[in-house]
Parts: sequence; structure tokens; C-alpha cells
Amino acid sequence: MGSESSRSKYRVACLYLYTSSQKQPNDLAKDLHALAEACYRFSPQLAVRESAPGDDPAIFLEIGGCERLYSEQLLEMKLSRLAGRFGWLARVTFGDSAGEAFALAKNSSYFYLQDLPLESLLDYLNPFKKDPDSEVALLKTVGILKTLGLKNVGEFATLPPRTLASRFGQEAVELSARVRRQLETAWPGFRPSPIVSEKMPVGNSESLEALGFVIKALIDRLVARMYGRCERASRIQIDFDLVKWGKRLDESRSFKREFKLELPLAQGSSRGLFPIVQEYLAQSLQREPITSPIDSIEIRILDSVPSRGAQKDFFSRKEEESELWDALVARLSLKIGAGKVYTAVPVKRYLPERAYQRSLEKRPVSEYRSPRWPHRPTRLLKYPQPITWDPGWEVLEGPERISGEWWNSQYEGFFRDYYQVQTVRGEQLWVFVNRKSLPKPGAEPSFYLHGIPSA
Amino acid sequence: MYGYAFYEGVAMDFSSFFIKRPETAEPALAFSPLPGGLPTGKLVEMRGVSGKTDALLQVFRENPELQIAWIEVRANIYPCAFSERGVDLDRVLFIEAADAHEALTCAHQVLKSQIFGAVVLSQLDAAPAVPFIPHTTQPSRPRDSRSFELRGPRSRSGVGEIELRRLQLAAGKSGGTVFLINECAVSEENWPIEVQLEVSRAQGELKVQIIKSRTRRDLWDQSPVDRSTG
Repeated sequence: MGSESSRSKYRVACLYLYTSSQKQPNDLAKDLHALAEACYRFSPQLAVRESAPGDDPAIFLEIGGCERLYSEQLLEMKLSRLAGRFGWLARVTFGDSAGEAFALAKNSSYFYLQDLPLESLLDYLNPFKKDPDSEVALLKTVGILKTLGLKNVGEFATLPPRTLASRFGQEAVELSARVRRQLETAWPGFRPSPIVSEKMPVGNSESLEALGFVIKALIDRLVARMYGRCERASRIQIDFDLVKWGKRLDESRSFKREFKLELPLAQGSSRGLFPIVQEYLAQSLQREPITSPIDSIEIRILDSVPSRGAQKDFFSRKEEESELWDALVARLSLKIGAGKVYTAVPVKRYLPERAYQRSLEKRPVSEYRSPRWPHRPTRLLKYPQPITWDPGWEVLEGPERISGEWWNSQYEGFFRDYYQVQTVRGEQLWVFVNRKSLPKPGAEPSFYLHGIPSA
Repeated sequence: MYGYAFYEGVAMDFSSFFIKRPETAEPALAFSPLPGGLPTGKLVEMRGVSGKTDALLQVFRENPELQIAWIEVRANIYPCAFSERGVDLDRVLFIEAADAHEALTCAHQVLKSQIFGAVVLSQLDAAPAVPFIPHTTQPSRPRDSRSFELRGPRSRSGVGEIELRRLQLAAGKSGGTVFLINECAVSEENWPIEVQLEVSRAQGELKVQIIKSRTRRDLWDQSPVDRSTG
């Protein structure tokens, strides 16, 4: 019973990809691996059937343990959509083994396993195409089965397994075990490429708007791959390959433009990354326009950081908002300068101007809980300014004595008495007297304006 | 008329067959001094010499779900005062702009992101950085320094009618409320501004006075114009 239940959990999705004759073999392999990398979002166990002349490639996903995450119908839609983003026409099938799923995918006109032609037994035995030698022996067996009048897989499955070895050889026994789901092919490992880059030819490079379509598609793919790896991009490089034109080609003239973009906050969505790249390119190209049309664009991820890896919540937009927040902060930081866009994180320090620190990244909520301070002004001057004490001022609060940090060599400690005062005209000011530099008895102490309690 | 049909001389009431559109209230931000609250997706101006920030922090305290973008020219806002006044710092993004133009650009970006329910544009009329001298020793700045430029009349803040209109459209599209807080009116041509409030402080209490309201006058007219925030 135990083995039966564990076997029933084993489920494979096969993403069968139709190859286009326009693609070069090298590009095919690269695109296939890029798509497989993006498929990591659905399952950690993947296998790739490489493309060969006259044979379409496929990607296998083991989804037995993912039934609570998504249904097969939903996965079919998502996989087809994802393949479309990478420029593939795809068909998705499901089976209890890799061979079964692949045989169903390849023979698209059959709906039931038992109706599949005998030739599909080859796919049963070798779905990952790792052992081409076994195919020759198997073809021979299939030929014998056909001579005996067997037409489909269903009829082959009815043959008693005990008699197979003596009648058709050991290949038939193994094949029977595969068809009866008693034997599963070992999955070859899939290792994603260490460099994440995408390249695309450019048809129209008249304006940045036209380039935007290409850049958007590239970023879409990159982000899908990064999502599969559970990473976010923190540094990217954009390469423009320029068309070599002109009457006299100058050797010193470069036909390549490189843009390196350091993102203030790592980005994990194309909605966040695309506007940043677009704005950056607009600024760069305005400063230094390109000298000839663009032949192709390549975007490469130079550095990445681990992603949050959170699932989308249907009942809350928290994760989505978090992505948007990061994207906005990164875009504004690039535009107006680092350190000018921030969230304020309270710090346990008595010095008022140092009682918080600026953080570009949004931190956990618990870090934003501030210690209980006495009444503080809403406006604080960056640098306290000397002010003359007016005898007409009314002291509303104070003195609040703050001192400390004598160990800090930068300040050599601070010793301040803060007062909240009201001027004759009704203005409220937050002033302090520096006790460290108190003058001799009888002389006026020096006051500093530090804040405005209610601006 | 549509709810009745006559059949063989008998009038039958069909009114219950029609689906009545429920009367929904316009979404508003709670603000206890104003019973109807403040409108969302509009421009709200708060002006006055003192008490504006406190009044605004009260709005944010009363709307704890609101995400806030605080854009300020030559920022001197003190974040520690936020948590002291009941506004959690995890929902506030501070942006320090160099001038009014940059502040407006940031405001548009923020509104476009649609994650902030409130965008504060503060101190748009801030002059270039000069040492602060309280009013006791410096005469108050002129408030009617009106100048005419190519793109319409502008005030000292450099924000004209066109900029305000653009901001109004962006706010309407995103559903976020834009608060303009300044000592004096941000623009002479203020028709895109939905609500104008004058905030003042008298004997330690905040007073909110309605200068202009385009839609919520009916709600606010039920109670006196001057309200203290308590």
C-alpha cells in the first residue's frame, strides 16, 4: 500500500516545444535552457530533452508534490504562457511517468495511452534521449511486435510479462515494466547557466520608444529566469551592438555601447526594472547619442541577491506593493540621488538629530517601533543655529536635560538643556543651551535653535 | 412611471423588479475636525503659520492603513515626531527634493505607483537654503509676490495652474490624496485644489478653518466652520 500511494504521487508535466526552422541550433539550445530555468518556479525537479534535427525538444517537470500549489489545468496555462514569452509554441501534457507524458505530447492526435501507436514505445523507454543505442534494439522489438499483429500500446500491455523475455528479449521486459508503471527512467540533472543574459535582434532603432519593445521583452525573459532562480537583479549590463556602417570604417571607432546600471534596490519584477532601465537609457543616450543603428541588444545580470520568494496572496496586495515600493524607491534614488529617498528607522540614541537613521530598504515592522521619547518637534534643523534669548519668551516646557556619548570622539559628548518656548508673536521654538560651553558666572549662556515644535 | 404596468384595467407595481443602485458614500479620509472627512483622489491644501504638520499627522493617525509619501523641499521634517504622534514610521516614505519642480516630478512618480494613499508636498515655497531666523528678528515674507510666466500665473512656489491641474489628474487616476502644505497659498490659480484649509494654533489648540471646498461643503456646513482638533 505504501509503495502504491507513493507511486500515485509521482506526476510529470511535459512541456513539448515545437521548433521553428528560423532558429539556429545554438540559439535553440540557449533558448531551451533559458525556458527550463524559468520553469524552476513550478518545480525544483527538472529535466531537459535537447533538440536534435527532426526531433523537438521538451522540458519535464516532476509535480507530484505540488498538487496543493496549483492544478494541472492552471499549470498547463502558465507553462504555455511562459513558453510564449520565450518565443516557443508549446504543448503541455501530464502523465504518471516522464515517458508517458512525452509519448502523449508527441502523439498529439491520441487522447488515451492505450491507443498510442507502437512506435511511441521508443518515447516510453527513452524520454530524455540519453541512450541512443537502446533505440536500435527497441526498434527491432517493435518491428517483431508489429509482425505479430499488435497495433498499439494497449495491446502490448495485455501481453503477460512472464513470457516476454523468452519471446522478445530483455528490452521487451523493460518496456513492459515501463508501460505498467513499474519502472521509471532515471532523471538527468539540469544545471542552469551561471550567466543570465538575453540577446535579441533589433529591427527598428529610430527611437527609444521603438527600442523599448525589445528591451521590455528581454527584461521579461530575464525576470522570469531570475524568478525561477529565486533571485533579484542588483546590477545589470546593457550592450548595444551597432551596425558597422560608413564609407571608411575607422579602426578606433567602437561599434558597441555598454551601459552598466547599479540598482539602489534589487529588482525582481519587469514592472519595476523596465522603467528604471528606460529612464537610465534615455538620460545616457541624451548625453551621448549612438552613432549608427542598433543591430542587437543584450542584457546581462552582473550581480543578484536572493529573492524574498513569497507566493502571491490573493487576499492581500502586500507582496505586490512591496515590489512596487522597491521599484519606486530605486527609480527615485537614481533620479534625485542616493540618500534622499528613505524610510526613517528609529535608533536608541539621545542625541535628537541622530535618533533615527535613513534606510533605503523597507525593513521589518518591528524595527520601526521607536523608543518612548519626551515631546519632540515636528521640524528639526539639520544644524543647530545660534539664537539670542529674548526676555519676552515664555518657557512652555523644560528644561529637558540630555547628555551622553562622552565616549564618542567625534562629538566628545553633548550636554544640552532643551526648552520649548513661545515668542511674543506666538511662534513656538525648541531651543537648547549647551552646558558644556557654559561661560563664566554672570555672562549670558549661548542658546541654539534646534527645532520648531508645531510647524 | 417605469415601475407600473396596466393590464386589464389593474395597475400592477413592478418597482421591486428593478435593481436599485445603492447610494454609496464617496470614499473619504477620516479627520475628526471635519465630520465628512477629506476627499480621496483630490488636492487638499493646508496652510497657515503653525499647526499644519500636526493637523496632517492627525489625519494619518486617524487613517492607520494609509501609506504616505512625504515629499519635502529642503527637508527638515523630524521623523521621530511621527511615531510620538501615533503615525507608524513603517508606512512613511520620505523624499527630499531639491526644488519644487523636482518635488512635483517625484509626486507624479509616487502617484503613478498607486501604492500611496496620501502624498504630502511640503514647503514647495521653500527659498534656497538660508539660515533660519525666527519672525522676532526678521519681517514676514511678502505673500503676494505674483509673477506671470509663459505657462500661466505662478506663485512664489513656482507651481502654476498647469502643474496643479496635472497633479489633480494624477491624483484622480491613482486615487491618492495630495496634501499641499505651505505657509501661504501654493498657487494664485487654485481652481484644481479641492479643499483649502487654514490651520492655526491658539492657546495650544489647533484650529482648522475651511477656506474653500468644492464638493464637501454640504457635509461641513452642518457644523461651525472653525474646529479645534483637540
